[in-house]
Amino acid sequence: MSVSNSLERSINLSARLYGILLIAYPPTFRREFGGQMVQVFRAACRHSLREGSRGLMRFWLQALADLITSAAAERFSDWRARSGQCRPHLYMGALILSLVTGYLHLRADADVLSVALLLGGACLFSLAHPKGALRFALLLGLGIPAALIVAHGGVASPGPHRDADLPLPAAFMPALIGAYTGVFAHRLFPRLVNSLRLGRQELY
Amino acid sequence: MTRADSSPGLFTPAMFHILLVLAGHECHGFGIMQEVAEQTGGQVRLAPGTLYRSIKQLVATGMIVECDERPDPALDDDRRRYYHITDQGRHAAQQEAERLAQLVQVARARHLLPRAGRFLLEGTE
Repeated sequence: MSVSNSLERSINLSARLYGILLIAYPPTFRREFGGQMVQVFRAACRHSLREGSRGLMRFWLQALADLITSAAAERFSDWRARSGQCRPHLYMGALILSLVTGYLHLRADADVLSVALLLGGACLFSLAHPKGALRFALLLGLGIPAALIVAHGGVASPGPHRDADLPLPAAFMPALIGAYTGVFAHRLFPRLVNSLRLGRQELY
Repeated sequence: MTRADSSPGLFTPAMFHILLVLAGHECHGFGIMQEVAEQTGGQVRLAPGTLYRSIKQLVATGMIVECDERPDPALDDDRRRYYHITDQGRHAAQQEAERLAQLVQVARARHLLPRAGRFLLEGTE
């Protein structure tokens, strides 16, 4: 087998492997640019082989690092485009409320307050952004189990009155009920939600 | 990359390099890769992922478009896609170049770069 044949084989193999790795990108991006990317990769492989196999290795490493970062970024922007607006401030708010609920559950004898916060918080967040209802419910519901794990893990000591009196599913249930009440309310009273939003925009 | 989504006047270094190449002539993906490497003395090497992500964003913001006709169909691979810069893209690249030129002026004033004349003289020695 001649040297040029073996080089051609390594280029073909590289291009085929790169084509498989393109699965890391979202399907729409792959359909639009996948063919061109493989073509450019193949040409760049051929070009890098001027520096020998070390040049090809260097190019492969660069292409792999680029594939990981750009595919992650493309997946994120694809997800953001599909899920409408991301609204990170709402998720941040839900996380803070979740931490507050967990802390209250540990430090105060306030099961009713914790449940009310989970129920009301999940309802309001889902009313504002119904597409994220399940995520809000999970985020809020995780507060109490996480606080219990931290407390029993020795990071913080629970209050004397705090035993495992609230079972774990009980923490998720109010959050789930609240979240889907919010979604239901959003569907039932869209005019009310819109007028609330318009009122808020006018304030700014 | 997200900056380009919010405002068509702002873009990443990769996008600016692509616009610089396309400001000269129409070009295909591999050609852009090679010219960017040449223009920067090999310091910037665009890999296919960044290249086509940037192209996608530039097309989406209307700064470049895909050419319907290729420069010389007889001499070229028909699978290649050529791109060319739009007026909007040229204007945005001009604005970015002016912004960078202003930064260079500030750097010169703070003695971080040699004066333009001195730089030229040093280059000819």
